[in-house]
Amino acid sequence: MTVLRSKMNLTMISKKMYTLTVWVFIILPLSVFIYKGVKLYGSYDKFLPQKIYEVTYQFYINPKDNKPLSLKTFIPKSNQRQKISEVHVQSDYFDFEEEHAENSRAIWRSVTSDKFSTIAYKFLYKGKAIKYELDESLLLSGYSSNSDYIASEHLIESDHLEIETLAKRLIQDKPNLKSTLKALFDYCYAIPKISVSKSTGALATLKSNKASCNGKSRLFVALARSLGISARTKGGLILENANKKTSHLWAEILVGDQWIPFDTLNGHFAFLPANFLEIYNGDEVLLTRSANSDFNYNYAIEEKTTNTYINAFYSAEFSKKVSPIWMLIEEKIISYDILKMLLLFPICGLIIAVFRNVLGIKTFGTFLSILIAFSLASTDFYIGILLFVATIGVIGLLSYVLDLWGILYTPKLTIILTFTILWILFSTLIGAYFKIEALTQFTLFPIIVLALVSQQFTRSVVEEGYLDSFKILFQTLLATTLCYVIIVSKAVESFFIVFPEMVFVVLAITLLLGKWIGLRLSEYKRFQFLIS
Amino acid sequence: MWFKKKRIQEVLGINERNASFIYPNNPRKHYKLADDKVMSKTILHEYNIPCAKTYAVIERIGDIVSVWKTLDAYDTLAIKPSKGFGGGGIKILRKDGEGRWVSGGKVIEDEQVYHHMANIIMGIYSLGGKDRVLIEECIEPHPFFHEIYPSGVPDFRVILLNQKPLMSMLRVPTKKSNGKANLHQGGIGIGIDMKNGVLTQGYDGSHYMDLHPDSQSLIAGKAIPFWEEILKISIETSKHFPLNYLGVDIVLDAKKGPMIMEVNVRPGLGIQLVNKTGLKKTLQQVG
Repeated sequence: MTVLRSKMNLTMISKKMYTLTVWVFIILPLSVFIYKGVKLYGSYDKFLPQKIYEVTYQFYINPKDNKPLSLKTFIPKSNQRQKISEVHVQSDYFDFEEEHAENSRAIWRSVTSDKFSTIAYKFLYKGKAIKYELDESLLLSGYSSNSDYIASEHLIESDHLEIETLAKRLIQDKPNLKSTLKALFDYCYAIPKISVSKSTGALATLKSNKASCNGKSRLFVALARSLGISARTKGGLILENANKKTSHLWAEILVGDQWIPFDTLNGHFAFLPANFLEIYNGDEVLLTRSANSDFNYNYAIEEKTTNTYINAFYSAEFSKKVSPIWMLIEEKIISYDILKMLLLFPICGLIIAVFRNVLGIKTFGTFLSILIAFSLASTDFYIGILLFVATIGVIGLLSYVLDLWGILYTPKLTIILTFTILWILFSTLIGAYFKIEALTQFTLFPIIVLALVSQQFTRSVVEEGYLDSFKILFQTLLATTLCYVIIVSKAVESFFIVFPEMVFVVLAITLLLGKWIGLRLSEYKRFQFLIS
Repeated sequence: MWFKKKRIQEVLGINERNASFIYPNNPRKHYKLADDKVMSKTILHEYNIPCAKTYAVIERIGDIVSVWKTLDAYDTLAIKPSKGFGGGGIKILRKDGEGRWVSGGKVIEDEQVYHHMANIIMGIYSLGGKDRVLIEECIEPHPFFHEIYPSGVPDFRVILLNQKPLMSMLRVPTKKSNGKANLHQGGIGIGIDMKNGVLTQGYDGSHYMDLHPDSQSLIAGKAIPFWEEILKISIETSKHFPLNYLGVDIVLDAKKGPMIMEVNVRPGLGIQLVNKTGLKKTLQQVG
């Protein structure tokens, strides 16, 4: 009797523990969610940047003598498409000042120093791409220019006869401003590209018919100016995950009171990509310094987030404000993709659980659908599915032959694994030979997943026969598709990365599902006769 | 399709079967007592519950030949994988007039028997695991079954919860099922009026019928011989297995009457369709 009572108590306690666990898993994460949500709402940036980079100008100076030294460089300003924030300046022996005119400039000076010194100028760049539509009704004859930007200057020889002649020839029969600019743009864009760090003038570019960004941009500006169109060069950096020394030059045309960007090197017509950092206007030199030192420099650029949802809330304090998990990405302890996969696994697992226990859909393995979905995320979805089904079909056929021969179970699985690998190597070879890119993109992960599914499929053929196995395969792919939609959704991804505590809510729902004993949807159909 | 809430509450689904019937009543560690036929039979023999006589159990491939030699005295026997499922790997052997073993209408050589047994031991019929060969007495189906359908071995399934029979059915082979009596292999299930021991109607997975589809013999209303005995040995079986939610399979031998064939820890739910009744409804009635 006492034994019975203590057993009863134990069940009671375990039941209470279950309820408590579910409530804790719901209430605690939700409180954190609300707390963080309120805080995040405060850091919401209506600017909605598409790209966020941390940029650091790094200078290394080794003085040759004890004479005064100076270093000047342009620094970017915020405008309608770029936001510069969180500027940090670091220099050990130099005095720092900023000079603000049309362009802003950072200046470091030292009176006397003979010590090696480093200077860093760091800021956070948030940027958006910008695209202008030039109105077809704008005519060249109706264009009113700003006289500050039409004169010939050093390296932009807009009054040179050759440039004037070329411009006139290019714009023959061009009805409006847009087609005029397009003609000039296309000419410059078509000039073969070379990489030289030396400054090339407009005329030199025209004569040699080859140029890098600065030669092409200057020629474009010179051609425009020769037609009386206000134009200038624009200096900046193309931001990408790298340490680079090369800055970039493009051109701008003044239309009304708006400067419109044109990059004749990269083919951006009236368009500026989100990763173009604008630094200075006009044909200036980004970096100037006194000659009495050994000098080196680079621009260290690092992309901070690639998720547009996170971009909207991002600041340097993001990891402190939002979650310690972001720190793992920031410090490169775990890659964004791996973290994403880890955090999305539970929700995908829940989907599979709902598929099986609520809908009554059968799938191969418990989590195989999720693994397939992750594999598909790294290749093209449709080609992935096609290859997948083809592979399973081949394996099914192989399995049939092995059954005919009476091959024992474990050797049979080994043969199937080996065959899967050979089949994939073969497809990759075919892909490489005929240059079909989709076939060559197998990585280790999808190969293992394919082998696993093949094994499950074979096992299912033994247990359930071919027809049912293909039915299960179809249902597996159904679950896979839903998981895929979850995995590639930037919204879901950022939700779990910003609120990783919500994984506990997923757990709580799964716990509730684990106690749910209702009829599965498939059973409504199966027992239709009994219940209707 | 119009579902009635009360009816829905009477039907047992997989989720509820697992969570409320199997998990609380069948400790996982005891599953093997049902899944492994040799182990089930050990319990049945121990308590003298009628079942097919075990002639031999072979565990090692090296023992196959010597054990097989000792079985020459029998005229019929059944070779089964101890952990097989769905009837896979079962061979029924009979001697013909010249004393040669015959299986499925063809003479079977000793070599073929050895090969089959080796396959069983290596686990071809039991998914990966090693297995044992169970060689036992061959059941001679009771004439009662001949009247319904003359070939194959039909069996009764009784579902019990806490030693109380809840529902039962008779599974009969058809032409389509190739001698097998399993519902999803094409056999038909026949509902049983448990109080009176009478067959009700047949069900083939989609339709109900009063006649066997192949033999056209009348099923509905047929009285089952040894019905009390069948219930008695199934209750007896459930008492001696540490599993409280069970499906017990029983065959009817021409000479020996009802015998336990095997015990199932995860009995299927199709029996509800066969009997046109939800398991939870009978549970309320049985109490």
